[in-house]
Amino acid sequence: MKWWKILAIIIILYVHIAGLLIPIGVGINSVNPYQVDGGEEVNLDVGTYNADIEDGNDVRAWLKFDDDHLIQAMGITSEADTRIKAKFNLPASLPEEMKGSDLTLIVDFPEQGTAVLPGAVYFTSSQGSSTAQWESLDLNDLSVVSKIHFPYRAILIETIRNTYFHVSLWLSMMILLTGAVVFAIRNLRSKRLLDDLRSSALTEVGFLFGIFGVTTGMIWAEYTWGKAWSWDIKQITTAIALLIYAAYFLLRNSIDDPYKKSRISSIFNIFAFIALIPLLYILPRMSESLHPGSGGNPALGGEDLDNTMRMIFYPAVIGWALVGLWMSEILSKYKTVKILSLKS
Amino acid sequence: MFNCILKQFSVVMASDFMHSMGKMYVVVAVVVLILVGLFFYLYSLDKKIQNLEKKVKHGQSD
Repeated sequence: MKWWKILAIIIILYVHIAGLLIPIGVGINSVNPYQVDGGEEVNLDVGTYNADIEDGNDVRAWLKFDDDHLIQAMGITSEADTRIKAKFNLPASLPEEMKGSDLTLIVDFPEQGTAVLPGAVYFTSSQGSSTAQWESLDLNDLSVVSKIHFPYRAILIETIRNTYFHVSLWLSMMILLTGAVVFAIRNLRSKRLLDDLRSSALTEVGFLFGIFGVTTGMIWAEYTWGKAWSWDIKQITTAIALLIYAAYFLLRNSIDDPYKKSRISSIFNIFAFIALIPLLYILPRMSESLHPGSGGNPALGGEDLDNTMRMIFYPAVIGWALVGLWMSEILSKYKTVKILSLKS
Repeated sequence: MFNCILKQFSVVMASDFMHSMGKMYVVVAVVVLILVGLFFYLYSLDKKIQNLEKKVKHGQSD
């Protein structure tokens, strides 16, 4: 068996094992109460994720307005397996005489890591006075866990692992469809049927991966965005792109003569590919979207992947592309034999 | 808008199977869907090749 097929198996096994078994880091799940007033002493009930809390003694917490204005918790007690209570003596008002603002909650678990939740509470300034003051603290001795883990993201939690399946499938689809258009162009120049067979096989597997992408995205969205289909711009444009490729298959089916079929569908494949680029990569970036990489920001940047995730994600793209290549090779062999059997 | 999401997420807390265990079963569903899809594709390709084999056998015996 060819080397790249064995490589495909190894990579996909690695992606599944590492992608599913490496744990998520510590995170903050919930904070109660949400509204706090200046000057009061508040006991925040904090729900945590993946934190081993024996007692609250070594755990530290801060509420942060900005880098120069933080307030440290007076005491932490463990409430249950996954909850702690953090007592804060709040200052009376916000700096710069603001009436109200979100505060970030930072919780440091010794030897396990630090959890940060922006917008954890909403602080309303009050007229009274308080003994507590905002401090400019330098949080440079926060716990960093040495064991490998994936980042904790609110709402996503474990589903961040879907990055190795949903997102990598889309990128490998791009690789397959690029191969398809290369063979389509080759077919137009060489007039060889074999090039067209390879092109249509790659298109078929690429289309299948696109269907996987949309359906896995809908499952992911149902439990993170709230519903499976939100008419998000990227959902719409990928559906349009897949419909255009579906038309490619309809076109092929409607022509009997293999040479005519190959010419016309190769031309269509080129146009379908040209439409793919703006639909998938330009339009979604230009408008507000639930997907990462919208509103002018590139996706797969610092906010969406960290270095531990990149170790699984990039091999996953290559792995799925190799699997797709393998599938398309079997498919084009089948198509070749089919045409040969018709001729004899 | 981010505040609205944060206020709401603590409401949907492990309230059903798919939301439990940090939504791990959502990942399971995604992986299973891909596997089932690939197996289904493999099956349909296998059937196509079976039919082709039958056709070629018929053609040879005639």
